[in-house]
Amino acid sequence: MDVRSYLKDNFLLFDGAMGTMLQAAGLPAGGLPEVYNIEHPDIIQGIHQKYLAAGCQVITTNTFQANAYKLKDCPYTPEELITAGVKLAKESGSPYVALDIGPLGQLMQPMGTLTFDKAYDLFLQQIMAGVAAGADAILFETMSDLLEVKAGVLAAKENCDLPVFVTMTYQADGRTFVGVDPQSAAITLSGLGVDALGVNCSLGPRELSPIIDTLLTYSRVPVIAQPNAGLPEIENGKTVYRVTPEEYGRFMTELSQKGVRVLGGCCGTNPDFIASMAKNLEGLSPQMPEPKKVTAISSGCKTTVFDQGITVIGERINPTGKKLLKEKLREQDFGYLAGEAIAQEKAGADALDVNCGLPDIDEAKTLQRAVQEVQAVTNLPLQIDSSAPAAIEEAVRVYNGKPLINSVNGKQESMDAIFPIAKKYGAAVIGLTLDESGIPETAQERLAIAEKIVTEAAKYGIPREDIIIDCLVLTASAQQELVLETLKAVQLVKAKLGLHTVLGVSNVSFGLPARPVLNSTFLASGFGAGLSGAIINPLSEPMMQVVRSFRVLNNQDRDATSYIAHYSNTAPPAPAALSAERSLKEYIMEGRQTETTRKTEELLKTRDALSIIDEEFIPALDTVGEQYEKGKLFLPQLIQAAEAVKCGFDVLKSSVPQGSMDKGTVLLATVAGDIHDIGKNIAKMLLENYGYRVIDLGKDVPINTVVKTALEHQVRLIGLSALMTTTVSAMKDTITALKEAGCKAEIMVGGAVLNEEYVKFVGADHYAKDARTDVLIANRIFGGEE
Amino acid sequence: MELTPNRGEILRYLGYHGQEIDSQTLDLLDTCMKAMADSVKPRFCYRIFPLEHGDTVFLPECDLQLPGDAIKKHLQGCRKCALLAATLGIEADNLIRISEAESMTRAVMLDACATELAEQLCDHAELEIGAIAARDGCGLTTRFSPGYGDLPMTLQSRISEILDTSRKIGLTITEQFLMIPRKSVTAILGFTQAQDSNKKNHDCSCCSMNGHCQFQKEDSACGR
Repeated sequence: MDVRSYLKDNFLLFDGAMGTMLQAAGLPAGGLPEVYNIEHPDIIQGIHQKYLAAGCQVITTNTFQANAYKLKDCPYTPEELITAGVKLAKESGSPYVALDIGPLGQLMQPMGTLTFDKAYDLFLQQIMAGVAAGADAILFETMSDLLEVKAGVLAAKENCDLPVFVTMTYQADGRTFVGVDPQSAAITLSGLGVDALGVNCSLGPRELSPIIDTLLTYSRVPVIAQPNAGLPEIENGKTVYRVTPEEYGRFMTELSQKGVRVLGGCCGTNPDFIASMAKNLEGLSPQMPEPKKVTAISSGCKTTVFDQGITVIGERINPTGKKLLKEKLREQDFGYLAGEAIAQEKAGADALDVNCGLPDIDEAKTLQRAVQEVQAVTNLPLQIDSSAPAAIEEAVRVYNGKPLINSVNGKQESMDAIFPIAKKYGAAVIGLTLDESGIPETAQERLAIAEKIVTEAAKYGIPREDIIIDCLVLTASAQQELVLETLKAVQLVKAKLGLHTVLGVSNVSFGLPARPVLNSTFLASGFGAGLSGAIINPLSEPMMQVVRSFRVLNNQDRDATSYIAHYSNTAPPAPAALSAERSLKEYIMEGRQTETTRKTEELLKTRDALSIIDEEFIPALDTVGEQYEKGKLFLPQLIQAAEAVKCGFDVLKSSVPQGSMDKGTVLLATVAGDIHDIGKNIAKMLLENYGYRVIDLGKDVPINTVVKTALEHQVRLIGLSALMTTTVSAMKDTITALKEAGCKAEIMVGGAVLNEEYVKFVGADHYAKDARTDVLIANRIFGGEE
Repeated sequence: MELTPNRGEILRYLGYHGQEIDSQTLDLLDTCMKAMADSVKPRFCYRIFPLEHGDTVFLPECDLQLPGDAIKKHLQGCRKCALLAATLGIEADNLIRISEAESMTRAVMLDACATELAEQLCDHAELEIGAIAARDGCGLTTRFSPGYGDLPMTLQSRISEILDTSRKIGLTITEQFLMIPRKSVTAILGFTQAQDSNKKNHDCSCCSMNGHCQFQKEDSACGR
């Protein structure tokens, strides 16, 4: 019987710790246990035998770290160690052999430098070796990052048919090292179609119990528990575990009766623990708990559950009708999107829509990048919005968590394209109630389309709670008689199908004045009709007033806590002491953003943008810069002044044509391998303050990206940043590559460890010891004329 | 473990030396101190190893060579040393990264707050290690990290492997030997023969910034 069939009706017992056993057998601290597969196979075989004798049914191969990254200084390849490891496990006579795969040992972007594709490739190499050697299942264990796991799960499912088990490691605060909570893990991994999911390591069975409860509540697949032998304690610098085999057996039996189906051990356990567990479980039957059926979407670290009340989905990251966003997307400047994401989260959004649909850009590539950039600055789950299935797939593939796809509709073509993607990546989907004949007029007909969507989804194995219906808002100025039909449809879909609904509310007021009034009234009626989610602009106060107040009325905001917190402090601030109006220059020097914005707006009525830059911004910045150099101001004051000017620039940008203020283009990048980019970002802001256009390639930028961009835009000045001595060599390599490619740009370098000697070593033209020096260099090169 | 940021130290990291500060800047700094202190998940781990003095310092139990003259001098007379790794967790990095998209002033302040908290975390770990050393009748040297003097940064990876930092405290080392989470420290502390130890004043002679350092110019030092 294969593992999947066996697991259906039985407990599945894994073995216990390998590392603990090997250390007892003489493995030095920091040594690679996997080398023993080849150099001491007898020791590994002995350990496998002991666990089998103790009563386990699955032997885990000794291949936890056997990835190309961890083995880079090892004489053996992953293939060699995995082949030997699987062979030993199979020779043990174990009923089942699980290929053990641990974390790659590098953090994924944006936290670290590991890309999704690189992670996929590293896992694939391990998986293929394990499959070839005859493993029966794949176990990803001790994982911290859901995105890393996703790369591994996809590598497994796209290349073999073996069952995939995943366990993650939670700390005492209930989260993994990168912040994943068990609810997000259960929801995301269930969606990805793993065969079982659970916990291992870090804590003992008692401490893991609440985490396991959460997994049992939300997991649609069997749950795994492989705890440590208790909470690790440090004694004289050594780790000790205090739970005895007898206690362990009892605790594990309790977990099994809550519904845990797959049981084993981690650090500190040995065959005695497994034997005790096996003995305690004898004669007991597995419990099959029904998971809670919820409609939920998740980022790696946060889950939004639609069943818990009304949900706000921020709509601002969508270029339709937004000139500035269109421009930013064309320039691939994602900082603006990041800002929009943060602003919407602060305003109270529970999830964010991300749409990059523009005719003249590569939508798939842009949407994918946008999703990554937005996930870098917010934990809110995302709604991935495109009419192009290819773009949706590119984006959901690298999305961390369980996304919401916006959207599918009742057209057969749409369902044929979207449902396979939703199923494969475990996404929830918004279903629009339109089909080949357009949007039906009556609520009944829209209900029929919703029903068709759910039925079709079921054919793919997509559960109905993963479908959210958008009953489609029509415009009051054009189809006034149909506006309330939408709300009737919301009621019907909820009552007849039990599905959650969303609406893109603001469409209702198109073409009419005072749109917020209509929008908020319609939103309130929508909530009254049972609407679950509103796709709105969370920065619109009238809309959020409806949301906040309805959450009191529907008993979601218990004791009106949030409502009171929000509204009890809104008394108008005491009038500021009447201070005399001062000059723009003074406001800038004091870093006063609001005043700088106002004063710039005022001046713009009588003066042109360039004169404001040259006669106000730059003299103020020069003075601040000089004072900083003399030590009269310190760093935060310099940056505050720069931020004030940035506000001023935003005013100017909205009034003059794009590009007309540029004094020249500067390319900035933090070099490959380096992820410290605060210094570079300060330089960027200051250069922009002086009117330069900055192409910011970000951090950890591959050499060829710098070269390609420099040549493509024919830039005359490039700034490179490196913070660590170990990444200065990447700076040198980048400069060498630029020169070899025939780039004539002058190159300035900066970063904490640099000095004049390093500058010569890397072959740069200028040393920018601080952001102000960058500006002076740029001024010299561009002569202030361009 | 509660870490309380020290405003004076943070101001010093920000290059402050007595300039006039307006209340707006100070208020912002206080908000940043609180935000960072609330976000961090400080963790550390260490192990104590006997050491041998040959051509280079050697830790036989974990098969680790500590190359270079600087560490040799630092551990002179020590028979044991502790390998320490400490981190504020990825939460500190996340907070700084998000702030960079919002306000660079805030980001720079948060970065300095985290640097100061990392120092405090190490002080905390050092107390614990010091108590173990005291039971042996020993004191401790100052913390010496890869990258100081001629002690190579490449050691970062080996120390991480020996302490199993990715599993124990979530600390990883990139192929360029950067620590992630960024606000992390690895260090070596020698067990000195005398309880009062040979704690030296901050030694700048082995630093790659020696002669270029802004703190030095102001007659101060980066650490404590």
